[in-house]
Amino acid sequence: MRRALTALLILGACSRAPAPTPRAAGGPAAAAPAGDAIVFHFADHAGAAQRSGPSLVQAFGKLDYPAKLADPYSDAPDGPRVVELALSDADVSSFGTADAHSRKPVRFDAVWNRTRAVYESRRALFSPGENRYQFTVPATAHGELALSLAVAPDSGDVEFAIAVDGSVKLRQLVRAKDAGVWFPLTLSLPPGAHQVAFASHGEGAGFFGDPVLVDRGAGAPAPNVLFVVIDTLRADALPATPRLRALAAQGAYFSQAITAATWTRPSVVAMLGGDLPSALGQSAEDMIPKDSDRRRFYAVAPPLLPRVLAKSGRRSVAIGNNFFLLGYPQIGLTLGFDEVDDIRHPVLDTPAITRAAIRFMSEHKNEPWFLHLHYDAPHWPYTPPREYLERVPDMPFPSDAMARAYLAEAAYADDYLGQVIDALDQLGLSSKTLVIVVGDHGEVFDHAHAHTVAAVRQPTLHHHGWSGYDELLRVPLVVRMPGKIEPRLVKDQVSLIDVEPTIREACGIAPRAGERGRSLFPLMRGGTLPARPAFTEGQNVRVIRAGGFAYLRRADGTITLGDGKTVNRKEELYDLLPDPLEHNDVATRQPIDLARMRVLFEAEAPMLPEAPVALTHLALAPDVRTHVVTGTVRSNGALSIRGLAGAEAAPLDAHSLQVSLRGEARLDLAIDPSDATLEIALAKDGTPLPPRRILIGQFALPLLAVENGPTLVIDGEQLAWLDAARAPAPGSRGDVLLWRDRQRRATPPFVAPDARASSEVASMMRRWGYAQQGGR
Amino acid sequence: VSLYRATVGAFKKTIGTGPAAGALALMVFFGLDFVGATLDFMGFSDEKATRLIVHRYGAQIVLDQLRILLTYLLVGAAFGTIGAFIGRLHDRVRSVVPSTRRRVVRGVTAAVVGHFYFFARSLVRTPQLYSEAFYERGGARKTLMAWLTDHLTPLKLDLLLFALLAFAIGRPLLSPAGRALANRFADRLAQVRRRRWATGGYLLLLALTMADARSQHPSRPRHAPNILLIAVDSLRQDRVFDDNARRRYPTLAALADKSVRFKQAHVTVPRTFPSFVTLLTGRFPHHHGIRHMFPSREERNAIGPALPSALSRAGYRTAVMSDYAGEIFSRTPLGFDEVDAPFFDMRTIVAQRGLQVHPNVLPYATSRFGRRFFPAVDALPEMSDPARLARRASAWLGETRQPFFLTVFFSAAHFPYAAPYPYYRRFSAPGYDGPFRYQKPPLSAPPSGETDRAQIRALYDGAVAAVDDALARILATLERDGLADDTIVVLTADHGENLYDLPERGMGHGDHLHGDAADHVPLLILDPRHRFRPHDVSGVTRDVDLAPTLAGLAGAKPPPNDGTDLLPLLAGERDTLSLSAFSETELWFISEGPGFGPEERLPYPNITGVTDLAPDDDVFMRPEWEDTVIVAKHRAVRDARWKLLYQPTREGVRWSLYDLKRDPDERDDVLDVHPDVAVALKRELVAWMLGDARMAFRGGFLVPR
Repeated sequence: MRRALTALLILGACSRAPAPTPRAAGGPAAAAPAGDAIVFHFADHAGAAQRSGPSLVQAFGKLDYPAKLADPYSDAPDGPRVVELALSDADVSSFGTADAHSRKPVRFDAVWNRTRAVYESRRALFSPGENRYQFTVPATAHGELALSLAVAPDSGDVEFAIAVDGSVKLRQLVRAKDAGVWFPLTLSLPPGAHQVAFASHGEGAGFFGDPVLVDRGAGAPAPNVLFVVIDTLRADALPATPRLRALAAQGAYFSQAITAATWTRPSVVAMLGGDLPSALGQSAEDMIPKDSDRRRFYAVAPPLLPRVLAKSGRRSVAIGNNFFLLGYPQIGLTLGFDEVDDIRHPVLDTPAITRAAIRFMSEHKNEPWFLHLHYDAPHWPYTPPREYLERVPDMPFPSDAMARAYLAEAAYADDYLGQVIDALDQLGLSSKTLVIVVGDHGEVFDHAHAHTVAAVRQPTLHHHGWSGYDELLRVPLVVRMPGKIEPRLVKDQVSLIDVEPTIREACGIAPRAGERGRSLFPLMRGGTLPARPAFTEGQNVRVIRAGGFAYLRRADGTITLGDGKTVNRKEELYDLLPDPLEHNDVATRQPIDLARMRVLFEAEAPMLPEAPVALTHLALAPDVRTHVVTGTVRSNGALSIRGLAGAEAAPLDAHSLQVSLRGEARLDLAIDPSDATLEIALAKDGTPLPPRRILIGQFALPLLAVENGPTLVIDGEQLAWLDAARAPAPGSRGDVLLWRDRQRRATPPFVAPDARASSEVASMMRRWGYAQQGGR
Repeated sequence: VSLYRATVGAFKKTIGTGPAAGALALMVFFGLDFVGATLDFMGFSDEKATRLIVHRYGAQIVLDQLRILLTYLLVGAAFGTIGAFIGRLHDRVRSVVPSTRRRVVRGVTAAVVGHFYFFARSLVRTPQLYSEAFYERGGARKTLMAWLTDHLTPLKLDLLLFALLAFAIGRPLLSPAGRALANRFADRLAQVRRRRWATGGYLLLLALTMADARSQHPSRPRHAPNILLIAVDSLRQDRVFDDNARRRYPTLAALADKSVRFKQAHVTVPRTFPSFVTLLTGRFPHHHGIRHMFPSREERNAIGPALPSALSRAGYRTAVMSDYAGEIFSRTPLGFDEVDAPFFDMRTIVAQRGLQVHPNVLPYATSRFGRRFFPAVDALPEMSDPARLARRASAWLGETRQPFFLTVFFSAAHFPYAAPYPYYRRFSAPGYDGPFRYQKPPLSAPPSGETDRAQIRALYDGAVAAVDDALARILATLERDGLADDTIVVLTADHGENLYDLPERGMGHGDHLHGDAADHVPLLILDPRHRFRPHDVSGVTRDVDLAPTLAGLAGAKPPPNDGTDLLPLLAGERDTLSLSAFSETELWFISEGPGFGPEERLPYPNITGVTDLAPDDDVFMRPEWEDTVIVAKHRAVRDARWKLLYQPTREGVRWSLYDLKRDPDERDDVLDVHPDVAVALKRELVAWMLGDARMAFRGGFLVPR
């Protein structure tokens, strides 16, 4: 019976496969032609691919190139199969034009190109030396592989080969001198092909960038998503942005949209994750997250929109000036885009982003995509092209030169946003593209809000990130999809965490269970949603905005006011109806409102999820007679006791423990970081236990290579030998066993930030105006 | 009051008749069976497993028990009917009306006598089915069973019953009234018979017409030879090749005389499931994926092309038939067109246990008729009767079209070595009354001395003798049906057997690789088409070589394989192909035993700990233990002269080297004496082990990457 059903299903699938018939693309009224379907993202299936080749861990470690990261979202048993590799192109001025790929490779330049280059990052299959991946792919009628090839700078020649169903269809040699450039290519597959192999030969390290399998003409037209963030765009900058106003008139405009964080990285994470940054595993506190925070984020964060939309058969691409979107710099996080074009230039970035976006949309006209653009123009430094200064209208804004320069930047970004929207309309994609334009946070221009925050040693004026006034929280939010969304002004307070569920609904994807954000479609249809407080996180500061009040709380209340006086102000409360500019703190005058807002704040404040820790276990197996094992466990990381059964353990200091196990006993330890060295010296029944008698890992095998000293030292590659998918079989002979739980996700081998990468981050931060002193 | 009387009257009438009395009598046995019965699972009384089984199969257990109860009732009723019939004969002759009590007594007597006959006959014929409930319990039960099997034979019991029936029926018939009755009966019978003949004649005519139609079926041109693969579970090579074996097994000896005799044939995994898959695919276990007895359904379905499917494509009709150990064929797609093998899953085990609680129902459940209602019986090790399998094979041969590829797999020689009467006692020492009188259960206590060990070997030899006689029947069928000249006969084994050759090596197969008793198998190939000269081949050959060789002889394209075509050896062009044979241990069911003690292996839980039950009752290995089981395997390589052994333990890897020429029993490790030989063989073995793409060497151990 089951077999018969399967056969029917297969028959059904076969009869459907040749169905798409090319329909003439008529006028605008004609039905949308069958689109192309993206049926397989190879990187998402890399863990299941058959691989042969050298050790990936070693090869990745040896790769002397800073702009690389093992992809934290993929898990393979043998090391980083999928990596994020960013290759640089110095020529911002021509980026996105048709001849872009004839360019010369550019080296990672120590001096100038780090702030004036383009970094093209791809989720890539890592293929060092003689390596081969073999995938089983779904059958396609008009399949086409699309990918790009690259060789890591300073590695060597690589010959790439792609085989389909066992026969090599493509060979491509990339010489070491051409290393550092992505070479895009496509390859048609024979109908019904089911096996694709990617192989590399030669000395160098090769990368298959973002390989996807597209079935031409096989897809139902799925909505595209164009998600545009204009950095630092205040809600009241709208008069300076005519194109955005025009867009707002075609769709829903939210006049009370509140950001989830007062600076870019957490704000973008919140928009892509549908929840507050802390709830997603990444607090808004640290510009440079600690390595452990980064690990926690990758371990606990739910799938973010880039991966969710890629899984639903879309290309997931980011183009912008947003260093935070890349995982290899210390300040960034990989958020799961297939491709990120990070365009770093204070002025030329805006046209380059626009060119690249238009090019992407026209090249992938028939494929569903998720395109994220990040315009950085209004962000510090305010250096607009001269002509935009003249376009700035008079506004109810502090009309100083700084504000005018800022507004000119906004107008500059707006102008190019208009070009993107025009191109979208000209390509005929408007009706099937959900466009969302949003500011990620505002900026402080009100001198009444000017002070210096002691906790971050930064002034608030012309800054963001460490204060929480409305001019920072309120941003424009425009959602357009002609035919699906009627033009409407929505005055309800909404949060930017609602962006993700809204995009999900537009794409027909169920909301994520447990997320705080909610789809805005009910409001856009003219309905209502229950009123909800908006919560915003920042550095040293968090704000809740509800019922016409804004309540601000600082972790460290020490601020230095404009007159030089230093005060301790932990809380501020503003009654927004009489005081929309937040000039009168009513915290002391309206104690009832303060109490209410405090309660609300506590109720809404998100908790950082606990980072999953891979526990390390030391166990004594049972035996006919009782044994006693005593000794010390040391690590260069922090040791903490998580469980004891038949065992005793006393910390000697943060890095060592005195342990004692008796009979059938077990000791569970958390070691931070997980790749810290472990040193164990034990005695069994009073006699020193030779290191070889401590059995490690899932198979409880002795470390034969160890010296015959009194101490077992496990470090480097041997640490991975501890990993066990399940506890080893204890046996009944009183053996001493040591193993570590296998983590949910393989810990990506983060590269220790080298000098080059740190100086890159430092210069980037300086340019952005985060002139922080080191060491905070 | 009248209602009461009516009820009592109806009761008397009913109970008074023989069938009801007989049925009630046997129902008492149903209850008695439970006294002292134990429930266990594959030899383990695991509380958790029992709980799980009761929870999950409660409904099945109740239904099975009801079916058993119904069997008792029906059989009892049948006996009661016979009793009532004979009683009625007596009454008619004597012209008396019997009392209710008398009728009850007759029914019960008939039931008891009938049951005793069937029970005793079954017990004498297949004592292994009953030894757990009687012999192994000791005391009076043991004495009773021993007495029965010592003093009775099926023939004696038949004669006894015949005499009893003759007396019971004959005596009344001999009286004058009886004779009159008999005459009347004979007249009536004659009428019936005339009608019967007419019907029979018509049926015969129909059958002949049909037979005629079948013979007119255009038979295909006979280019390809038939292949008959006889595999005998656990058959040691010395039982075929040794001189003193010839007297015991005349059929095997005669076949060997006509065949090419491969004296150094080796299997890769000395356990049935992986071994058969290796043999039929020609690929090593790490290439076909069956590494132990409990692969999941997905793993079984992913085996890939095998010899049967290759031959099937070449136009062969392919079939396999087997008894209990052949259950693997019913749950594994290997490309056979027809599979006649018992089915086996958790439901089968539960049904078997349910039956074994009731020794008194076994005579009926194991009868030809009863098996239809108790299919789990076919999967009982105690029911592997080679004669029965030979009958099935002969019947199939008689009606098949050609060319065919038939695999007949005899399980009788597998432990518990439970051959039916008279084979189980053929080689036993008279008067043996130790625990292994009828069989050697795999998990029973080890034999305590040479007497026990000799008895176990005698049981094994008896089972081989049973297979030998069954083989004679199949070969005779080939001759009778004129197939012999077109049929390649291959005889081999899925593995050999340790039979306490050295007491520390124990009994069984697949647990260790010490000595060659388990991996060294007989291989005979008789090809009447090519007419290879019968001769001995002394070069090493492997199970993986058989698929390409047989495909070659059949002119078919072999499945993709790791083997070598043995044609040059068959043709006598060469005596060796300089092949190396590789082997690995299989799953350890228990935590330790001879040859796999705690110092000699990496421990893992016993069978109930590493297996699980799929929702469809399939028993499979828990995925989390898969890697451990594979890591823990011992492995070996051998060529004509040397054998190198790899044993991972918690103290490190033990490598040992044996000089097979000087030390055929593999007692002395000469690794230190011949380091150069060890290095060369180690390279070969390591390359073979790394043929498993998932594995890598780490710290000297073979572990998953």
